[in-house]
Amino acid sequence: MKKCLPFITAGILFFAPGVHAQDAQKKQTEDIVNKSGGLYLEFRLIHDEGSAGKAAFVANSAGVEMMNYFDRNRLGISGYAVAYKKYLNHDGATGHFLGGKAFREFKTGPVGLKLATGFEWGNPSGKFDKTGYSYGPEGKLLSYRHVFEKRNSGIPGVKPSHDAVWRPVADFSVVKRRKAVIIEAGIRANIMRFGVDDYDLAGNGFAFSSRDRLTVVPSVFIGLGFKI
Amino acid sequence: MNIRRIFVVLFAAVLTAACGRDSNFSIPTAPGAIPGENSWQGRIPWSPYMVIHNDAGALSGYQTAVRELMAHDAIRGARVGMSESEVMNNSPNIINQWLAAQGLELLVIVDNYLLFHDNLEEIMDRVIALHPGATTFQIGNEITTILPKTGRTTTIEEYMKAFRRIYDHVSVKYPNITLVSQSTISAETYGSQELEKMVGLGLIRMSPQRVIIGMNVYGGPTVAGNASVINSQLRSYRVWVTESGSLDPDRQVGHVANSYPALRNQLRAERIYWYALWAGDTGQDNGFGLIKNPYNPPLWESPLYQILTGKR
Repeated sequence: MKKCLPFITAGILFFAPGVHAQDAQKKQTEDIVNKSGGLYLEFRLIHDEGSAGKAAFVANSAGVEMMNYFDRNRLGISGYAVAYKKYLNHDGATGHFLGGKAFREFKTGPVGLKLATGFEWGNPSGKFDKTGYSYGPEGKLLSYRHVFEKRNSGIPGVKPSHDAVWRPVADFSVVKRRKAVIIEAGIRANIMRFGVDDYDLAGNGFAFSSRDRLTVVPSVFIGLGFKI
Repeated sequence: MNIRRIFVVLFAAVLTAACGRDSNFSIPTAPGAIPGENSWQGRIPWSPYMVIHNDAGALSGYQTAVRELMAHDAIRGARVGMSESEVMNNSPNIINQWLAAQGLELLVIVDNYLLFHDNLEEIMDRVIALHPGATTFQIGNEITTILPKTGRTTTIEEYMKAFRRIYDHVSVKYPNITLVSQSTISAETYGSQELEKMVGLGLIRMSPQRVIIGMNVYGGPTVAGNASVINSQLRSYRVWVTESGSLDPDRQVGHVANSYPALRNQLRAERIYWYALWAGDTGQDNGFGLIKNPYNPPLWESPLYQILTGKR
């Protein structure tokens, strides 16, 4: 994961204000982009697929984003968004996430390219918890590996503690805004910390080993919304 | 927009997405016995363990059912109890004796009422002596919730003091015996909160080599709540789900198909004990059972039982 961070950082810094001189033409283009500032409500479908500790994960979620586009860029950003999403895990009590992020949109031809970074916080769905078991020829359990998203936060006033996660996220998307409609499709990097625990029952007693791993779980998403 | 910059972003995004990906491997979630025709293996993610109530009148029905289940490798162990009076009188329990004689691995519950005795060490000596082949003993069950309010009840603080005394005694005198902590109840997050209290009251200071975490989980928020505790404060401990099941016989198969994988994936349960072979401990049959009418066979068999025994 440490190898990945420079790429994410580079992508963000590349467009940060002051890093590169802004020529007049670009400024003019951005002004055009942001003429259609305002509030957008977008509905999203998201598909996560990745792996950690040799366990594979697939998770789908649906959500809504409220995006506020500024009239013109401020401090290098084009706007901000707040989001809610629910993992499709057939459990009404878990898999709820809130998010916030800042974004910058670049006009290029008929569409815009959007780079966003922010966070998600919520109670895990269980979709990122996996256990792999290894059995002997007669069905005796020999060992197993448990891979799980580490709970690094808690929901205030709710027990037990350690029941929530906080994740940094970074999006790259293609956006088309025309009149009151917004259409968006992109990819997301979810920066997640996993616990990878091994339990070996083959010997006398059992042996336990544990490690943590920071992993990027990629997502793809599509969104459709309208200006409010 | 400079096209070069677009390529840089795309390049960074692709590399980012690719980072951290490992080659996938399959994660089996059922015992690895070779499935035969009409076998439950490969059809449902069953765990070959179940609760068997110690009702002597049900023995003939139990004998029929357990032999059938064993013939299909659908039972390898049973969670059993014995009454306070049986322990105090040193009288063996006929059900437990018969199950042990069949070669089943017993998880013996030390009854909640036995934990009110002052001489806990002697109580443990008696229980262990009455089950010479057993190596796992569960100290209590749903200790703060199952006892009738009309009688004596206890708190989790008092329980943990008793558990610690038993742990110290067994660790010295019976090095081959493993204890299972009382199973927390499956009621929203009550049990998860109680498990977290147990951690703070000293559970974490007991050796993971000697203690397995017990929990009863029928579904719902209990799974997520218990996962929060075991994945943060009890990572080095093994977990046995000592009760899970469905009150509706027609939903038993669905419960195994849908809930058992979640119990394994989220709670890393080594074993899941079905509740129960016969759920007649309240005086009459109810829907949790795999069988009914063990007092007067022929047995009624649930759809799950029929799958486990190769009849459907």
